Formats: sequence, structure tokens, C-alpha cells
Amino acid sequence: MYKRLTLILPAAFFTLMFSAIYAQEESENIRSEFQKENSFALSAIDESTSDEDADIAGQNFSTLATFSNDPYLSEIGYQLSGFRFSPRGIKNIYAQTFLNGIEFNSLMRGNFNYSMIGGMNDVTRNATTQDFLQASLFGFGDLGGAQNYDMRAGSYARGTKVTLTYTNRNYKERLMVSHNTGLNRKGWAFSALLGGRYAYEGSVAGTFYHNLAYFFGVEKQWANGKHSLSLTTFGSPVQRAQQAASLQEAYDLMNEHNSFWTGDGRVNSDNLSNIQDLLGDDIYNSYWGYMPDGKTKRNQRVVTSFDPTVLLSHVWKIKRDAKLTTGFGIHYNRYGSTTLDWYKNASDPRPDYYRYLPSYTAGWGDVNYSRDGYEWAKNHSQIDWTGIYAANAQNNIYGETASAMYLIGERRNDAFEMSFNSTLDMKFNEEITFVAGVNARRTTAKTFYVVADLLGAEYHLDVDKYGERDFPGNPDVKQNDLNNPDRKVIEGDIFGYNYNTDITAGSAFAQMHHNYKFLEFFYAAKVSVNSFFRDGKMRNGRNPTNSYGKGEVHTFVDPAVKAGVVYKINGRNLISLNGMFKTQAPLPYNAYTAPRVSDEVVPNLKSEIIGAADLNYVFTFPKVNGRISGYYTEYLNKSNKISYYNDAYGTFVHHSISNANQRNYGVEAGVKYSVWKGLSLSFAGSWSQFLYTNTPDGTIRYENNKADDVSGKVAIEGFHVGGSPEMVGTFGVSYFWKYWWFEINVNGIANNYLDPSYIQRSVNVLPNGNVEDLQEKVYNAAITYYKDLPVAHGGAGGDEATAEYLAYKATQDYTKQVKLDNAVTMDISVSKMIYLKGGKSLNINLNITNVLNNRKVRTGGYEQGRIPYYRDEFDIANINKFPAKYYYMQGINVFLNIGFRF
Amino acid sequence: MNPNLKFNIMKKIFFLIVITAVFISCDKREYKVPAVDAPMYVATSERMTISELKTYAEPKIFGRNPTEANNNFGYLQNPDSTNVYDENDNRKIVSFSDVGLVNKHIKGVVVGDDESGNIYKQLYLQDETGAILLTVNLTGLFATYRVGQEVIVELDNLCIGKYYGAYQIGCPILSKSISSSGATNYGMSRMTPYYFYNCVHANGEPDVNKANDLLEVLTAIPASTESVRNTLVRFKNVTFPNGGTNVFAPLGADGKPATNSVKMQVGTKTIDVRTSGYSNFAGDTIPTGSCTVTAILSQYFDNLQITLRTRKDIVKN
Repeated sequence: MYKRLTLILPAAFFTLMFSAIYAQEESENIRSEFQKENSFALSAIDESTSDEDADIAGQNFSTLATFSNDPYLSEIGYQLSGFRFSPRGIKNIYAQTFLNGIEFNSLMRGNFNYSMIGGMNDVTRNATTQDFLQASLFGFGDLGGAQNYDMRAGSYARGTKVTLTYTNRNYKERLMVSHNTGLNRKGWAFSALLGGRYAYEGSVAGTFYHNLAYFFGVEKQWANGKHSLSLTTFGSPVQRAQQAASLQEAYDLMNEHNSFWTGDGRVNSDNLSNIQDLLGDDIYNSYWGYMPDGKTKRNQRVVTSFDPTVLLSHVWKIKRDAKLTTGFGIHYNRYGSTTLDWYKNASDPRPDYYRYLPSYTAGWGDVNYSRDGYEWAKNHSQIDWTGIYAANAQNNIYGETASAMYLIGERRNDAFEMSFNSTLDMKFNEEITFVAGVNARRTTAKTFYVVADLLGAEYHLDVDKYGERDFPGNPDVKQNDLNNPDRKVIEGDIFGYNYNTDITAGSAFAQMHHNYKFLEFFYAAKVSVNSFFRDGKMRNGRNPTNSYGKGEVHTFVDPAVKAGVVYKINGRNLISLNGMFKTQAPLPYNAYTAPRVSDEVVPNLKSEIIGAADLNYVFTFPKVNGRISGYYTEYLNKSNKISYYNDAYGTFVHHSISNANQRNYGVEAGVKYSVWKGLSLSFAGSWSQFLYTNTPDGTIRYENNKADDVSGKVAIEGFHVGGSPEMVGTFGVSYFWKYWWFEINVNGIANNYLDPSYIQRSVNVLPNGNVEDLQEKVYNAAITYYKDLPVAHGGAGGDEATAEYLAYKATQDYTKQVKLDNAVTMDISVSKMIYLKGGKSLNINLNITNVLNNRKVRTGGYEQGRIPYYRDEFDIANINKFPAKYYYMQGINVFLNIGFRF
Repeated sequence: MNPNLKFNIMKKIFFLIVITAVFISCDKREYKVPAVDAPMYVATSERMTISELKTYAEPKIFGRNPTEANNNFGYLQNPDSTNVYDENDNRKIVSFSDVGLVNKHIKGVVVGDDESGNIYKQLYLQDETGAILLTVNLTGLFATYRVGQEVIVELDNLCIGKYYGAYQIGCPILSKSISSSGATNYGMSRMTPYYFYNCVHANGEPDVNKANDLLEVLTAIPASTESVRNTLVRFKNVTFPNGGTNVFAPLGADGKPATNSVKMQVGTKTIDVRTSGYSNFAGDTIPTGSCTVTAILSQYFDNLQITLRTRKDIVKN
């Protein structure tokens, strides 16, 4: 008996252990499959929102993290991308993305545009990632690491797959069919995919989504696999309508928000508690309106994008431990976003324009929201297309000229890109690995404005909207193109602005990696050259001498070094330290103050300096594994630019900051624990600070060039960098049983800020640039305003102490940074894998995010550039006239995916 | 796998793709320019003329507070309770229906709109008995309320007031304004969008002739009386003393648009032509020689002045 037990117990133990480990692996596989299925859908959340800049730059760095094997990144990247969380606060321009070893970050804007590979998940699953500051595998990497998609036909497993998806996001249905031959005996492999995503109306009112994705790849290997040549081409044309960010007042208006009556138009976090009850079935979207038929919804903001890409890649396995990967890629991006524009003295057609909201229409002076104004605004909360068509139709007959009052223009940001990479990867011996590569790239970006729809008008006269007002009596200044003055444009014609940006870049890097029993270390260096110039196609009337033709060439040479050391305490514990120091050339997109009309660059145009380090402890036990890290990143000499209508100057301005310093630091941890058999727990979380650490220089440039630039400090020292929450966490329980997989996650975010707008922190020119000066100016204006204002109107009624208190409050309220509310959401996933005979399989995934339907989560937004400034003094009565605009997270979100493989 | 079965599956996939492609390509978002019907409004209330309205309202318009000697800046109040004050010592403003004017409208033709930007947040409405100013807190009104547009104003919920003695229609809300000298004034508010869209209705296509039919051809500058105030007039033979050199409204000293007035010679007398720096002809040179001017005879302080609607209001003879 005893003998039998001694046999059975260890056997049982090993069986259990084995099945637990096996189950964990299977579960991980299914989860990772599912995440890859879902990851682009998540990043598409960003696609649907916002203005064109956010649209192009919007996709989050988290998408990259989905492919990582790191217990922190894979968990956090997937669970928190809906919150616009960026690990370590790293913007997507600091992460490199390669396709078949060819770099594809935009030279113009720095980011990788995920929509170029949208809707083709079956062929974007093979990605290798290099996390944060780790050693290079295929490129030097960056702060946020790098990823390389292997899209060679021979890399895909043989078979056919059909995927059907339903979701209630910006698209609703998705169909994808892919077929891969695998490598045949003659060394050929073919791969093809066709997919589509569609929504007649997306989950947000007035949006739609049309997408067709294609992919075709061929690979030939010869000389026993020593050589591989592959050609890959794909594209994902899409046409989709967008959702607007709106004023809190507009959201409240649409949703019977009680606290709407409190009369505080600015950020009032107390107001938020009721939004959940008050947001109706749809999130308010001000971009659409009914056409005159009363049935058809038309959205003014429609993105039409098509990015055909061709990749040619050669892999040469020189010998057993040496490989040379060379590739050349061509990419054309046709990107356009339409917008409803208005001219001549036509009224602003945007229904959420602040002057149509009750707080304004109740009259000057008192912030007195009237019920009547509220009712009216609510019934006029969408675009009045009938009125717009009628206005143009009448104007054709009766107008001073028949030039359009309203039209739809398409803002085009096209680019033609070529990219070449060659990377050598070889082992000198068992311990030493060498990686080196060169890269050469060229981009011609074309930026222009096209008449997309005249809305019934006969033509549009191409002169500046405000030119007549700002430069009376000067017919030249108002011209948008002095080479073609007073041009009448019709649909399809370019107008307003038109320029190219030519960018040439190259880089070379090398890395040595040493791997010994207890110690591992690497050191790497890179040098990059970037050169760009603007080539204007119009001679702008406000900038006649520096708008037309080839502009000044700007060239930057930037070094980078990186090193890391790993101390392996034993097989289960290791400690690593990594560091990077680099300079980075300014992006052409940020380099010009007003590129649409002039060649002028921002002051102090120079490379930014970045230093970064992290210290990591990684542990791997049979039941628990994870990583705990601390990181620190310092950015110096950063520049940035925002554009807005400046009330004090009464014109559109571009506000640049330069010499801005920023510091990101924090701790992060990811742990996975296998409790028993298929049951496991996971946690990932981080605490960070993303801070501006100095008072940068600001420059305000008038777009109309009417007056000299205004320089002055921008008092944002100590403010938080917006765009990502600083504190996040996700806790998950998952269970795997007989190819069923269940997971529940609870996610939370805190310390989420809006990026500070510059003008709010730099009124006219602040001599010393500290926030106290600004506060004093607001305070003095507020004292004057409140002192004699009757108590019934919220004033001090002559009482000095009360006036001081009210002024103090107004000052605090005005200068403080907007902090978004903390938020918690819950997600549930269920998946089932069914293996059928003949090697076929069926997998079903159901993922429900935000299952508690939390509708009050603000994921971001922006402070407006406008300030309440009137007759050279703060307009305290209307101090909250231009509150921030917000984006909200969607409520309950379903993603059902059925895949059949045969 | 059975080759036939495989073929079947491929066939199904092919159809799926075709269906998807057809589905997506059929859903084209192309928007044709629709035919837009002329606005139509049939009033069920009883019409009164602009002149009748003024006569009715005059005894019910009182000064803003007891210190005002006349009602030149006053607004509609309940004659029985003019001693009710708000916290700013203003008398209570009321609507027409509050003083007993119920189920009444006025009907007129727009004679002055904001197309050029010289008229701002206002419409000049005229009928065969006279003209009145509609004050509105909206811009771009000319899109729907062009010169020649017939307009019906349902009066019940609106209010009437005076500015330098000239009648204006607004809404029964008091609003505060701060003058350029820093003084705080309260007065009748411009119609909010709510009041404007609920009470002011366009009827039919605009027809410039309807406005021109109402205009009075003048040979001399008339006295400032209610019958001529804010009406459309025509002077057939006038000159501009600074014609050929000055512009209508040059930029102010601070580089921002500013209002400016120039003299117009009518016979032996002159009258001011006041032009906003925001109008689209502010920078145009004043014409020389004899001209015909068709414009609004508006009120500025205690005098009449000329308000051009667009640059086309001046035609060289």
C-alpha cells in the first residue's frame, strides 16, 4: 500500500503540475490570440474622436504593448488602452514600429499610423517587441521600445480562416477571410487576406464606418532557406465619420443635467456625479444634423484615408549565426478630413458654439442660465443643414456675390514615403551578439485644403475670411494665393493653403550584447540625420515673401547611446538596469509656427535632449512571475505648438513653447499568480508623475502676420503633462477549463490631467513668467469686479473681505490645472476553443468592456486656447466663458468574435 | 479534405466577400443638393401696424429707474407696478402679454440686414406705416432674413424698449453692459435665439422690390421723427466731401477695427454716414462725384445718420 502510494502521489503531483502548467500555457495562448484580435479594435476607439490632429496622432502607444510578453505591459497595455493610458507617459512618437524590418514611423509626425494596417488582424499577429530600454533586436529602439511585424507570407501557418465580429464601437460588423499556403516544397509561400469593417451608424450618433482591407504576400526561399525574398502589399481604405469633443455645458444640455443650473460653466467636478444618470443612450455628437429630408443624418467630419503599402524584403542567412535583413518599403497615404466651413458674415454653423449655449444667450453680465435658452439650445443641438442649403441657395440669387456662405472643405494631409533598412544580426560566439543596421528614408508630405462640397453655392472666392476686416483697403493682403488672386474655386479645387514638406532622414546603429552565466550586458550607439524643408505652392497675401517656393533647409544630427546590465541572482530572480541618452530632432510637424501660410519656424528650433533609466527586478517561479520597476525620464528643450483664436488680439494665433523641460518618473509592477490548475490572478499597476519642470519660453504668432510676434514665459512649471493618467491599475482573475477561458478585470485610473493651455498661463507677456504674476493680474481684476457687485449677483456688496475671498477663489479656479475624475471600470471575457476533426477549429470570444456601463469616465480633452479677456483686462464676469472640452469613454462595450480555421 | 467540400467552402467565402463588398459600396454617402422650399408662416394672431404698436407701447415704456427724466432708454413695464425694483435698482421688465397685448403680430419687410457686417445683431423691419429695429443676439441673420424678406413678429412674449428715443424690439430680460467709459448700464436685452426663433418668422422668398417699394425718395435731410426713423430712404444727388481719399472706416490707433463716420452732403446740409470697422467695405475708398444713396436713416444719439447696408448702396450717377 505504502509502495503504491509512493508511486501514485508523485505521479498525481506531476500530473497536476503538468496540467496546471499546460493549462496556463494554453490559457495564455488563447488570451494572447484574443488580445491580438481585439487590440486594433481598441485603438480604433481613438479613431472615432476628435479633430484631425488628434485623429492622426491619437492612436495610443498601448497598442504596441499588447504584443509584449512582459507581465506588466501585456496586461496594462490591453486593459487600459481605453483610458488613453501611455505607459511611463511615453508618447507614441517615442516608440519605433517596423514592418518586415523596415521602419515606418511617420517622418512628419513621428508616430506609427495603426490605421494603415487596420482590419487585417490575421496578418498582424507575428510581432516581436522590445520593451522600453531593453537591448535591441532589430532596431536601436526608443524610450517606448520597438516592435517589428513579420508580414512575410512564409511566416504564416498554412490554412484558411474566416472571422466574423460584432461590436458596438465605431464600427459594428467585421468580416475577415485569410488564406496562407505555407512554404511549399519549391520554397514558395502565398498569403492573402480580405476584410471589411462596417457600420451604417456607429455606437455614437451620426457616425458611420466603411472599410475594406486587403493584403497579399508572396515569399520565395532558396538555397535551403539561406535566402528569402518577399513581396508584401496591403491597404485598408476607410471612410468614417467622427465624433466631437464638446463643452461640458453641451453635454449637460443634452442630458437634462440638473447641475447644469448651478451656473458654473467651467470644470466643476461636483457636477460630474450626476452625468451617469443624465447621459442618454447616446453620447452627444455635435458633428451631425438631419438633411432637409428630415431622415438622413449627415456628419460634417468625414475621414477618407487610403494607405497602400508595398514592402520588399530580403533575408540572407549568411551562416548559422549571422543574418542580414534588407528591406525597402513604399507607402502612400491619402488622408483627408472634411470640415464645415463658413465665410462672409455667415453665422457659425456649429451647434455647440459657445454663443448658442444658454450661458451666453442669457445676456452679458450675469451668468444666468435661463430655462428658455436651455430649451432652445437643446432643440438646436445638431447641425441645421436645411438652413445651410437655404442660405447658399438664397445667396446665389440675392447675395452681394454668389461666393459660398457655407462649404465643406477637406483638409488633406497626404504623404509619399520611402523607407530602406538593412540590419545585420550575428553571434561572435556563445556569449557575444552583434546587431547593426542602417536606415534611409524620404517623405514628401502634401498639405492642402480642397473644396469637397459647395452645398449648392456656385463657387467660392479664395480670399481670407478675416482679411477684409483685418486689413481694410488692402486687396492684396486678403489673398490666399497672390499668384492667382481672386480665384473662384469649385469642387475639387485646392484653396486656402497648399504646401509640401520634404523630409530626408538616415541613421545607423550598432550594439554589442554579452551574455554570461550571472551577468548580461549590452551597449549600443546610434546616429541620425534629419533634414527637412517646406515648399510652398501658394504665395500668401499675409506672408508674401516667405510663403511661396522652397524654404530654408533645416538639418539636425542626433546621437544616441544606450546600455544595460542584467545580474542573474539565480534562475528565478534577476535585476537589470538600463539607460539611454539621446537627442531628438524636432518633428517637421511641430517645427513651423504657421506652416499653412509661412516658412517661419518656431523660435529656438533645436533637438530635444532625453535621458532615461530604469531599474527592474524580474522573478519567475512556477506559480508566480512578474516584474517590479522604477523608471526616470528627463526631457529637455522640448517644443510644442497649439493654435487657437485669441480673444485679446482678436485673431487666430499659433502659440509655441520652446526650452520646455519635462520629467516622468514612477514605479510599475506586473505580477501573475497561478493559484490552482487553470485559475490565475494577475495584477498590473503603476504610479507616476509626468511634470513640466521649468517655465518655458512662449511665442505667439499671428496667423495673419498683422503684428510682430509676442514673446513671454508660459508659467506651467509644476503642472502635469496631460494625455495619460498617472496612476493606473488592473486586477484580473482568469480561469481556464476544457478550452473555456473566463476572465474578469477591474481597472482603475487616477491623477489624470488635461494638458495646460499656454495662453491661460501667459496673459500678454508675463515678465518673469511665474504663475504668481498671472494670479496677481487675475486677482486684481477680480477684486475690482466683485467688490461692488451686489450679493444677490454673487458679489461682495461692498465688503472688502468678501471681495478678497471671492477674488482668491476666482484666481485659484482660473489658474489651476484641470484634473479629470478618477474612474473604475470592469471588463469580462469569455472564450471557447473547439477543435474539430480534420485539423479544423472554431474559436468564439466574447469581450464586454465597461460592463458596469460607467458613462461618466472622462478619458481626456483639452483646455481651450481662448481666454476671457476684454478691453485689455480679465473679464471676470465671464471668467468661465471658454471651459475645457472633453471626451468621454463609451459605456458598455461588446466585442463578439467568431473564428473558423480550416 | 474532400476537394468538393473545400470548393464549397471557398464558394461560400467568395459570396461572403462579394456580399460585404456590395454592402459597403452601396452605402455611399453622397449628398445631392436638395431643393429648399421657401419659408412659410401663416399667422393666426391679429396684425397691427408698426405705427399702431408704437402708439400702443409709448405710455407703457418707463425709464429704467426713477432718476431718469424721460423714457428714452426705457423699456416695457407694468404701469401698475413701476415701483418694483430688482437688486440693481432697476424697474421690472415685462413682456407684451404681461401688459395685456395678447395674440398680436406685426408684419413687415426687412429693409436692412447684416450681410456686410455694417449692421450687427440687428434687423430693420418696415411696413407701410414706419420702421422698427429688431435686436437679436445672433449674427449672420441675413442668411434667412435678407433685405426684401417678409417677416411676421409674434409679439406676445417679446418686449419693446427705446435707445436714444428710437423703438427697438427685444426680449423681456434685463442685461448689463459696460460702456467704453466703464459705466454699467442695464437695459432691455437683445432677443436670445430662443425668443428670436420662436417669435420672428420669415414668410416666402425674399424680394428686394418689396423693400424698395417702401422707400421714400428724399431731397433734404428730414427732422428726426418716428415716421422716418430706421426707414429705408433714397437720396438721388449727394456728394462726399472726403471722397477719393479717405476710406469709410480705417483701423483704429490700436490697429483694431473701429467705427468711423464720414460726411455726406445733401443739398446745403451734411449728415453722418457711420460705418463699422467690421463691415466688409470699411477699407473701401469713399467715392467722388454725384451719387445716389439708398440706405437706412437710423438714429445715433439724438441725431439721424445714414447706415449703409452694403457698399452697393452707393451708386455713382
